[in-house]
Amino acid sequence: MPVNDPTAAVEALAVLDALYRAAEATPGVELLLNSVPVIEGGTATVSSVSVVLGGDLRHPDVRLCRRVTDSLHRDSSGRWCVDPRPDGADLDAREHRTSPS
Amino acid sequence: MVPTWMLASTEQVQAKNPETTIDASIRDGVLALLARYGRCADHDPAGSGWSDCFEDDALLSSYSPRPGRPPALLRGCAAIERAFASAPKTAATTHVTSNVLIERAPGDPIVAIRSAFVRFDHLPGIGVVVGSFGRYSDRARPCDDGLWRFCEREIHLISRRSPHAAGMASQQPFT
Repeated sequence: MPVNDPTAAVEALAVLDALYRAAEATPGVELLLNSVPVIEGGTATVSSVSVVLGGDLRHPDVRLCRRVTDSLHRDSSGRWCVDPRPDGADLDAREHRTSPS
Repeated sequence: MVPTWMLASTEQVQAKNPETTIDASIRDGVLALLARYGRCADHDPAGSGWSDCFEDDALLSSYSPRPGRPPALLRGCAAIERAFASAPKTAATTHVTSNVLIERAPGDPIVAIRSAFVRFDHLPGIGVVVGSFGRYSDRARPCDDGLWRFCEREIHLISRRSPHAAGMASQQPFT
């Protein structure tokens, strides 16, 4: 049974948040919402809804909306590191277009 | 439009109101509850049941975007489950919640939660569109099994796609 650690969960979410804020420089912005972290020892699993917004400010469109699971692990100094999504979804999320606009 | 960096976080608001301090475990439990509700409303088979979201005698009120209309009321978890299960549905939806503010009176196990929501509709041949958005105003408490559950949920719809819009995904009367 996983033991959730709220303090570690906040840290892990902050790392994920920082990663996807950094990605805002790309044409699409990925928002991670409804995130639920589960902490088990030195690993974290965060299930979220990923919403990718794109287009211009007057007519933004929702390019992608789906459930994702991110994994993180602590490195030797105790910092959380985000593992790459297994299917390369972090790239796919910004390239795939589902809206006709 | 207010830049996001100007919006006070829950922690900043609570720092000014120490009597309502919410610790990480409460926030963790409440955010998990909001996510569980989203999965239930989306009919996600990987989600848990409605009984993990609402107390047996919980009250759900849904306010129309049109001012002056009385809210639709559902009393009890079973009634809420039946209402969502019976709503006509032709495409998938995804409910997301953000801007979560949690407040609690000193010594009170029940917290008040305010948040904003968006329902995305996945329309075949069209793509993902915003189906509705609005605000939630909730009261929830921790239960003996460790889960947080709603005692009350108010849904205040600000806008909803017309049922006559092309490819309308859902006739859900609540969200």
